[in-house]
Amino acid sequence: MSQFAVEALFVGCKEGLVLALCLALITAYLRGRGRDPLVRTVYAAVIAVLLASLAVIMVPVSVEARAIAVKMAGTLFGLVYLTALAALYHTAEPKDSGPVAEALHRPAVLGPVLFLATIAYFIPDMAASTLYVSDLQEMAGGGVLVHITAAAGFFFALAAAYAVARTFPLDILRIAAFPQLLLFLALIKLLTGGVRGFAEISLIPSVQSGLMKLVHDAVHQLLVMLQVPDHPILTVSAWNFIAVLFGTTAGLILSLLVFLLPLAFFLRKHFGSPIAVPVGLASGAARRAYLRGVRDDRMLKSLPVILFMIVITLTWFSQRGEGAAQRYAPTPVRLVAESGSISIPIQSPGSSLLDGRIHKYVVQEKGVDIRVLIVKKPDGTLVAALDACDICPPDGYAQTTEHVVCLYCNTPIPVGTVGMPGGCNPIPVTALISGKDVRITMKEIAGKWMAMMIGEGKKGVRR
Amino acid sequence: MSFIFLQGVSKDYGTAQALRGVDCSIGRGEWVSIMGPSGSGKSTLLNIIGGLDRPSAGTITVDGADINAMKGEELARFRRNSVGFIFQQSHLIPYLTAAENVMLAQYFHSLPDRAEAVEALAKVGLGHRLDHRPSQLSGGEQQRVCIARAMINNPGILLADEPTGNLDRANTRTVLDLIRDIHRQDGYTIIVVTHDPEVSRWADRSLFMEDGRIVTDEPICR
Amino acid sequence: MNTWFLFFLKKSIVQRRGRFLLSSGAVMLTVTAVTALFTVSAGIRERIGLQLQQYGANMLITDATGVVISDERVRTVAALAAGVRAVSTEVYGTVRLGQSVVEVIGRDLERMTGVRMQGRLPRAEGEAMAGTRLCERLGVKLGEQMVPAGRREPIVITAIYDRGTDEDAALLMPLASARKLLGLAGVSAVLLNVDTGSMGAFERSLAAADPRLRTRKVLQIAVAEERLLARVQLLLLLVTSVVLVSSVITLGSTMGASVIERKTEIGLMASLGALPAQVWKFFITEAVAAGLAGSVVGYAAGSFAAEAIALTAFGGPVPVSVSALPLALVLGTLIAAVTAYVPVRGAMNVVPANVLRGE
Repeated sequence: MSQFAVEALFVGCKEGLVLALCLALITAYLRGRGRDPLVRTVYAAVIAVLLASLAVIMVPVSVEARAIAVKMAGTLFGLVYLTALAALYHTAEPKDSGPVAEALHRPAVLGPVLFLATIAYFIPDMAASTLYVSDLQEMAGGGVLVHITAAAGFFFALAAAYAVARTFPLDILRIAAFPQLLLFLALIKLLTGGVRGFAEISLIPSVQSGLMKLVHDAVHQLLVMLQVPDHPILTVSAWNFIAVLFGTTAGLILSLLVFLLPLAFFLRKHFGSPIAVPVGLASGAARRAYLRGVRDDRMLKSLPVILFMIVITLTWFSQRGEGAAQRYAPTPVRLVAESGSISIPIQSPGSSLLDGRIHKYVVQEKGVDIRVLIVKKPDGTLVAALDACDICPPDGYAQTTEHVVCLYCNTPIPVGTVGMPGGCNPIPVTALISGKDVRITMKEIAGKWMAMMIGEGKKGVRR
Repeated sequence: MSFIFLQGVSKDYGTAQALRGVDCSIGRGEWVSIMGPSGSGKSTLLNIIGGLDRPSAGTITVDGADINAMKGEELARFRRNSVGFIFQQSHLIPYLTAAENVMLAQYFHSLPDRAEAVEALAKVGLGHRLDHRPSQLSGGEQQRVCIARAMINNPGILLADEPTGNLDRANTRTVLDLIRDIHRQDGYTIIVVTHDPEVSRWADRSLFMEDGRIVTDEPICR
Repeated sequence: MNTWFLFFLKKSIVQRRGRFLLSSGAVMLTVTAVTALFTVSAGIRERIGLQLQQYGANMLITDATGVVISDERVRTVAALAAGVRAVSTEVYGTVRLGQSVVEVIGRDLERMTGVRMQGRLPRAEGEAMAGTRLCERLGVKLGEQMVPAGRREPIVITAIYDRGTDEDAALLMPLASARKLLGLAGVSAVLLNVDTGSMGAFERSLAAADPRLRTRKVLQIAVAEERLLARVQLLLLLVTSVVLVSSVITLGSTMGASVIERKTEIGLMASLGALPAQVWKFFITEAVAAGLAGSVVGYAAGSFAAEAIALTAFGGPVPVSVSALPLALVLGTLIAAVTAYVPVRGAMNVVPANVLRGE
């Protein structure tokens, strides 16, 4: 019981700290630019976000909406990053200018835009974390302790951060113009935007897998467009080539480059562009002083960009490796169907289905291998599911201490939620569980497996 | 308010008093010479005006800024932006060439710029001696490098402490010609400490100091 | 700006090469001593750990008269009181290979842990593993055969191993092959893993059952080496302290003299309007550069010294300690920076006029 409360406390504290940090940055920036009225707009948006989170607790949210909220966290990071890039490239000068910026500067436009942007920035994480806390509460068996702990952590973190911010005021404009501010916000989101408590502290794994999937699918689409013939040998070798090219390490490096290259190009442009000396300062000490000022400013403004690149590079590979060593993924045991169903004894010499580990089985139907997994949940019940989920290519699952992890997208699923449909959960199957064995009909698993394979462009994905 | 204004400036070293309550006012673009016997406090006065020494009492205002109140970064900024100093011994860094010595002054100000340094050295007639070390330059040439260095950041005030003390007549003449060009063409405020009456006569105004006080203060008629 | 800073720094160092080398040298001595101390300690510790690991046993039984222990006596040992888990038996002996006398060790090779080796474990009769030092001595390579004096069948080297212990000079074989080769009717030693609580009782019952058997706790072997290590460490520590004190004194005076020499330079920089931070930057960077140079050389020298010390005192080399490198760098840099700080601080407190006055 208490482990859930601890995790909820952690989630609450984390969300509170992140909120405080982002608010501090945004308000320091706005105040530094002399836009104090806009600070009120931001606070109003934050209050709206908090209310929405409360609503999420009260009102039951469908599984699809949950999945969307979780996915949005990663998408949002991408949006903020892309906006930062656009801002970086739009102007490499200390002063931002241009038609877009001018339009934005009109107060009638800027107010609502800022309001909506703030809400959009904070709400996916807050909503998803709130939903996760609700999940924790369910796993803890109900009651309000978990929610209260989360809220306590949240407000405590906010108060502590506020106290710190008062003591150390932030002069952010020296190193951050608008693009750098966005990069800071993007970085914070990336490093802390995970929504699954201890299992997912940062967004890096899901962003990584998202990017890798993107790259992978893009190549797949490209091959389809180029009409690579569907000859078995050719396709296999093409896929082998792709598998090599987009094996995990190569994929990681490529997806990392997707981040770093635009920033590297920006830095080159930033430092390489000639400095226009204002008229009247053609030569002499004044000109040198001006050049030095511009150069120092460029140096300072590039620091957030460099920091972003360093932090990402350092954390990118560590997140992939973690847990890989402790993952348990058994080889599926091959079964043969008898009279239209498969039957698995609960206790057999040398193994028991009740040992808390996942057990995998594979059975053939019409030439297609269908994989099933069975696991005992923390509450003691046995549950059966397909070794695949709706969303990802059917790589199957591995098990860590408290989660089953989708091997394709690295999403950890609490073992207690196996058997619930949706998202990256393994697709549940109805099974007849007696005291002696678990029986599943072929019609059930074959039907669901085929449906899964057909759905969402999985056709043609062969591994 | 005049450009350089001293009021009640005193300086003592233990029991000895180098300056006793000096009052003085110097206008922008004036060329003032300070004469007096050894120990009269003239060098001390110059050092204090240039921010290289601190008075024990009194105020000094240069272009509206109170120097005595400055310290650390602010004082450094004053020294590099407002004042150029030349010493009797040229005080050039011995392992840097003439051009590099000038660039050093640029470096502390903002950025080193070789082209500008070369131009400055050419203006003082040393365009052909850019890459010589101080040991390879004559006394007069060294002083000219110092002048170029003192002017490179366009301070507006030139303070010279016995600039021709170690030079022969010909070099003295060259250096003084340079200073006069600086005075006339660039409108610098010049203060020269000297014990040579010949040097003093190049100035617009002459102060005579004795025992830590200004005794006479008269314009020079030519 | 940075390139100019480096340019100026380089010129300054080159100008005062002598002082720079002197400072680096002083730092180097200290770093050498510290690195040697560190590397020897870490390496020997690791070796002792390895040996304990390798035995897996905590008691070694040999015959006091040096005679081989027959299988029957081994059974007696094993049959004694509870709390004994017989681990393994070993044989030791020598053979002549060519001109050299080579030590042979026979044991249950499959159960050895922590062995770095090339090749495969010897299994069949006539196969053996050779230690790296033995290979160097005899000039043999993997796969070569040698015929021991007085025998007809050759021995094939199926693997070369490196354990970092004295056993690198020996030939390892499976127990049965070694017994055959050495012509032994029994074993040389029995290794046991005894419950520490029952050790005393076991020793007494063994002494009663077979008085010619001598027991030695493996810990005793390790303890002897530990004592030697402690003595060597103490000596090294003394040397290090002396070197540290003398180099700090040297450095202090070098840095101090250097700053006095450059008082006019400092005063000039101040008169040119240099920020105090900029002046600090020059001097501290120069000191740090000397410190780094001294540290790098000191690390290399210290590692060599450690090898020499370990070979002499412990009969085996120690690995170069990678973690000693950051320690060396930090130590050297720190010493240099700290000894430079005081004189520079003093010089910076002086008003420029006092250093630049011409009269």
